[in-house]
Amino acid sequence: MVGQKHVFWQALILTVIIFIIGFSLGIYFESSRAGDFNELFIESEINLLDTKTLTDIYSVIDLECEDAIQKNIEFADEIYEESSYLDALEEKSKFTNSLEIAHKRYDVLRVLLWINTIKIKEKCPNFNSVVYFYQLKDPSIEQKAKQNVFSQALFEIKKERADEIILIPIAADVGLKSIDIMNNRYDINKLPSVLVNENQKIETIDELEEIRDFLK
Amino acid sequence: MEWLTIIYLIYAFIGLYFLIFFLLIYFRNRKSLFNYPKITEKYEVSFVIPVYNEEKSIKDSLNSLLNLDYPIKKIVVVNDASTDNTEKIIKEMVKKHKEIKLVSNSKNLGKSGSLNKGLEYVKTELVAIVDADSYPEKDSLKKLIGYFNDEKVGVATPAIFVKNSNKFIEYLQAVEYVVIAWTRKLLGYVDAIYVTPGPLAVYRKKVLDEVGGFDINNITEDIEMTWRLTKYKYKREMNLSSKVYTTVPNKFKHWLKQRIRWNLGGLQTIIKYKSETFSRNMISYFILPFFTLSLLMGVVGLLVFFYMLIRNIILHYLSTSYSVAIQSALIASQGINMNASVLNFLGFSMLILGAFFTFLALTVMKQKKLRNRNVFNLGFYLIVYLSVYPFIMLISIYKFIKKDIKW
Repeated sequence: MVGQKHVFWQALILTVIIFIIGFSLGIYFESSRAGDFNELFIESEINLLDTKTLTDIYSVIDLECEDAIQKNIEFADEIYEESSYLDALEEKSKFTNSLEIAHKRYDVLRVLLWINTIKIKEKCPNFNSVVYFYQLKDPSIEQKAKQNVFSQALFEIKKERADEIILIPIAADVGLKSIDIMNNRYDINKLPSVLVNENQKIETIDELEEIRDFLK
Repeated sequence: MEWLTIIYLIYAFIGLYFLIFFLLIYFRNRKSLFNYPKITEKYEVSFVIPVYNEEKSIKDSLNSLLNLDYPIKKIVVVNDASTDNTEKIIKEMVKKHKEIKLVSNSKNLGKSGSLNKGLEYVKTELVAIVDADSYPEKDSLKKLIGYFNDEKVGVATPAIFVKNSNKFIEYLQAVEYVVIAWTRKLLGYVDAIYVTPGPLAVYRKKVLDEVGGFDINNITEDIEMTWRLTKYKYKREMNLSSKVYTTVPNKFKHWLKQRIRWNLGGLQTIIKYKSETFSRNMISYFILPFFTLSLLMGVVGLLVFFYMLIRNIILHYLSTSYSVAIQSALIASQGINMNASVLNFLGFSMLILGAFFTFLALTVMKQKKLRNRNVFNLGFYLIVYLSVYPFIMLISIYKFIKKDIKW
């Protein structure tokens, strides 16, 4: 019987081995999800470059507003869906921060899209840009509830006027300089906030009702 | 990594450790699980049965003892001031069987007090303690006697099975008792048996005298006595071939009351033996850490559960009230995130392993009837029944702190 007492540490060693294998598989699983996003991201990056190039071309030759706006809206919708999926997966990512990096890349992409939109607006003002700033890292319960309502309300408005609105959600707290500069430029101090057409700011739930009034 | 993920991983690690621990012992000893030492020396055995309002079961219980195929010197029935017909039934039995002796307490002494009183009438080398609602199989006692050839054995106990397993709540307990019996046997291989339960336990009388009899302040005298024997370095043995059937609660409130009592007794025992933490015996090496860990895991798990529940309720309340304020669609209408995390896979794997462990226990213990009931029953046992334990633990701790400790 005394010899059998070795089972205490033998079980421990086996558990550690199995646990390390399981942990490694978990990390591999999460990393492979991030890998899938790399491919999507490269596609989106190409699409953005295409959209930007199109805008640049139009600045040289005669501008066809409808085409430029449509291209921007389509691209915005595409990356909106991709990043919504990314958000959902990120919530389930427990062992690694590989999706956090993917998230940052998408945020940069969205800032670029926003700048491109501002550029187009100079010549084609007949569409709306709605930029939604939210907190990604550790929002409080109240903030999370507000963000749920903000994103749902914006989603509804976007559904109502799909071809007239470019909806750009941006995580404002990921520590990217480009985002910080835009935050300062438009005085975004509270999260969540919504900036409509770069001149109307919405910071509270009550103000959300007014958003339709600010749209062209 | 989030703190919740870390807690989740710690739970999985501990669960996996004990699973591997039991499986290692099982696979090494699977051929000897049902073996037991032969009787090389005849021992005289007496029984002590404490009874309190047991008019429904005492007659059958005594008859099962009288039918044992090992000679019994005396059966001391201690009536602990019953208020029903228990005494009358015992007196009728006494008239027919000279081995039975009735001892009547003028006032209720509790189970431990009654046991100690009964022990005063025992002069044999071995004494078996039996609950009045338990029914040993004919050869159950004979199969335990051989263990006492080893002078260091203080107590030997059989496998306890459920007598009444037709109702769903009884079925759940029947599965639980089988798993407990199997794991208790496995713990016996590493000298880690931590309870020799009330339905039947055979003690060496001089050992009971040496350690001072049952603790009248503890409401689970069987747990406390086993820890005390461990402290005194006496072996506790278990025989899976020896079987006793016991009646289990068939109503939720009775079941709850019983489980709270077990937990309260466990807490009393932990407190009593806390000074053994650094002593070099199985209490400090395994039993005390095992009990304390179970307690901590139950409580922490429950606190995390409540934390998450309350957080989600607040989140939904706020989201809904904000939505109503702006007359927007309710958040509940949004899509549900169906993507599985690694932790979901881990939880699922642990559930499968738990099911495998329970299934293996039922197979090893030859409990085909319990094993082959529909999968839903076993699933309910694993997911719901075992999940109730932390709640019981929390109630018990509350009662323990309030000193509301009663049978």
